[in-house]
Amino acid sequence: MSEVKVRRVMLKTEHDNQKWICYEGYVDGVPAVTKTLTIATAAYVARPAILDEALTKLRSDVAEYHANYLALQSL
Amino acid sequence: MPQREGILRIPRELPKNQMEWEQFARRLNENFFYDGVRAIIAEAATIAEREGTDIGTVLSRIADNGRAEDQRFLPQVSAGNVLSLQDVNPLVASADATTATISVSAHTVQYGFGTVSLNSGTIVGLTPSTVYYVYAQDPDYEGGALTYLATTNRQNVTADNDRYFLGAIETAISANTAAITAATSASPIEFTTGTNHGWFTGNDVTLTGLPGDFGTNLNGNDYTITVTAVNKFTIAVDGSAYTPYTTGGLASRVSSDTAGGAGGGGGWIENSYA
Repeated sequence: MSEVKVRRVMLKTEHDNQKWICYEGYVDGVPAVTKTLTIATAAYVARPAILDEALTKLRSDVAEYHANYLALQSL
Repeated sequence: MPQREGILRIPRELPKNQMEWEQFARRLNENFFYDGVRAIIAEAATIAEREGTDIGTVLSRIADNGRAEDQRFLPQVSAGNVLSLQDVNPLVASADATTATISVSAHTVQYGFGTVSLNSGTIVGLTPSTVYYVYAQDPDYEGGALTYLATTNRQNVTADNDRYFLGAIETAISANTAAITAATSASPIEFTTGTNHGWFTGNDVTLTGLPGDFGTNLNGNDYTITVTAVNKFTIAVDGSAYTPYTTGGLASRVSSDTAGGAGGGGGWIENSYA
């Protein structure tokens, strides 16, 4: 199974980049399973652990989507 | 494109003599000229590849200030209906003790020109019990994996031409607990919490660990509360026959997922916060 990857996404304005921390989880070559994550910067400052928790769930969700995608390909 | 009489397409057919140049210039001046201040396109001018369509007809529904002045300038789907519809309501919210999360499910948007598919996403670290308006930047109607953002100011949604409005949602109530320190053998029963609970009338709480008759009759059940003080609330239960409260007990406010409302152009068409 292809590896789930995560990358930071920058927004259109610097104001938004200060207000939100954004990532997307993806698998190379399978855009349909990509999922995005947006975290309020204020929540991260109040509790930094929220970032790792959210990224862990993001990776898990994308892995699930990819498994479903592969299962459909075999039909 | 058929050759117009007297018009020479430069540069392929240059005038061959003075008479042809004069004819060319006259024809050109009938359609495009300079009034001393501005270049003018006359009504008889047409657009390349538009057979039989002149500038006047094309511009008849656009005012001098460049704005549409007749609703028929827009296709029927834009003027007579909502501009787009989602296939499902994509927004669900949940909350823990301190923050709320909006989950965006994968969905499609049907426009007059076709369907756009969007991937799922999550917005984390929001405030519970708050109405948010969810949007994303999609200037070219491409869909896919968009970054979803949320604002409490609905006008922010339309502050940029590139934004797609998914819909509005009130985030769930945060779940938190409070220790019970007193309870009245009365109707209704009034509970006292050890710390300020921060709850509101109409919230639902689960009671556990209560002693005696209170525990026998109430433990494990959910009740809608009426707040009587920052550290007190009542439930609509007759406890007048209960043996007096001793010690112990926990009240936990219930948090339940909430579903979003109407999105852009009419969106899901459900409860609307717009």
